[in-house]
Amino acid sequence: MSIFNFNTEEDLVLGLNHKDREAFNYLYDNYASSLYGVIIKIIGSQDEVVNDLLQETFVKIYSHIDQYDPEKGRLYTWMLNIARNTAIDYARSRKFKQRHNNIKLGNLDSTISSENLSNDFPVDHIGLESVTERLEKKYKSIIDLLYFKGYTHQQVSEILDIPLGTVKTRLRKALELLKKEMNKTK
Amino acid sequence: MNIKQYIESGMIEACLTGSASLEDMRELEVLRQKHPEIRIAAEEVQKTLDNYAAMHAIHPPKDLKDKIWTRLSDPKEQETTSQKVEKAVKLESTQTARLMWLKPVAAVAVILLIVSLIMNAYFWQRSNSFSNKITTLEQKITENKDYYTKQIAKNGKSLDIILSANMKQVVLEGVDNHKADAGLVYWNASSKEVYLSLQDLPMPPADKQYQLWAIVDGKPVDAGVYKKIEGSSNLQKMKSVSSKVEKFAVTLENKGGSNTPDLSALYVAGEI
Repeated sequence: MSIFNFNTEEDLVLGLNHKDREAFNYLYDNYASSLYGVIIKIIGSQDEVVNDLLQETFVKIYSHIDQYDPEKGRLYTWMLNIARNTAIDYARSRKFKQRHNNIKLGNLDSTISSENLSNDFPVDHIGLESVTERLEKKYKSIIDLLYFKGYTHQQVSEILDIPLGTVKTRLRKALELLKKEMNKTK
Repeated sequence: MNIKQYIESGMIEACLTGSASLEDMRELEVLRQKHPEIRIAAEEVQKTLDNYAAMHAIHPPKDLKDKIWTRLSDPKEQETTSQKVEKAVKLESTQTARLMWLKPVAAVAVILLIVSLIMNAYFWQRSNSFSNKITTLEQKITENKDYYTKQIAKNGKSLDIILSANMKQVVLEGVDNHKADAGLVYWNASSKEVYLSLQDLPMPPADKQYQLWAIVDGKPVDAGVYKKIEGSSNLQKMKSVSSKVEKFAVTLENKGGSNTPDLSALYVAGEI
């Protein structure tokens, strides 16, 4: 049991600012797997590089913590975005492309590549599956392309062969439906 | 602004998935604070995304946690980005602070340089035009000098002639219609040289010339034509005459002279 009480996000941020071990533990235990899962989803497989990327994410969280503004949203959201951007940047880099010529980045359905089943399925993989099963493919793919792959609207309109304006409205519809499905699972 | 329209446009979803422009994202930040409906809508969308992301959660390898902590507690990692940036800025500013005094000096130096260059160009151009003028003047002076030297020599000669002891001066008085006119002859009896000056006579027409006659034994002998030049003192050497000359006379003849005098055109004459 930790001495420090992290009831509020404020306390947590304070702890992070002071490089407190307990604060780190709390952070890692509660959020690391979400960040890790998102990174894997973006990279496409549990390649060894995802471990480095998780480490990079934490380094960035720590070095930029003084830029986090509670007014703009939750700490968790902020960290998720750091993880997302770190992974997307790497996925776009030449290094990754050189090593993974075979992987189709448009592989929208897999969460873990069968070639690299190492650790775990998603913690909530049943829940995830049930939600994604019920979501129409076109809605699932638009969320994946924009949120996980980090494509622009222009690129998505080309990939899915839909008008530019449709991208925005379809994304909105997709997230509405997703919300409904997730509420159902609860 | 139409809040409903904004929400239904899907702009919020675009911003929160990071697929909108920076401008749009900044705008959302502003609108969230301004309009509660937008703030609530944005929070709902964000929650959906956050939860969906969490559904993908996978446990990292067990040893990764300590590895990461070791990296984070490394003294090199201790500083936050802002602190690192602050340090860098401070360092840069002390370096520049030392040289700050140079700034105004450098600026003044540049201005002075430019001014001096402009002045150089100006003066060089002036100097050029001056030396051109000087060259022209020098040429003129030389020309004038030559001219005057010649004139003086001429005058000197004339003077010598006049002042020679052997020279006899014969005044030629105007005759008949030409009472106002007068001429001058200098005659050297021993050398037989004759010099004539018709300074005071009118300029003859272009096709006529004055001619000098020496009367010897009552008969007129041609002593040469006179070239009257306007505006200059004209002592001209004429033909030599016999020492027995009694009289000198000047007539106006056709240009080039004539063999016999036109006595109707007699202007001046004088006895020795």
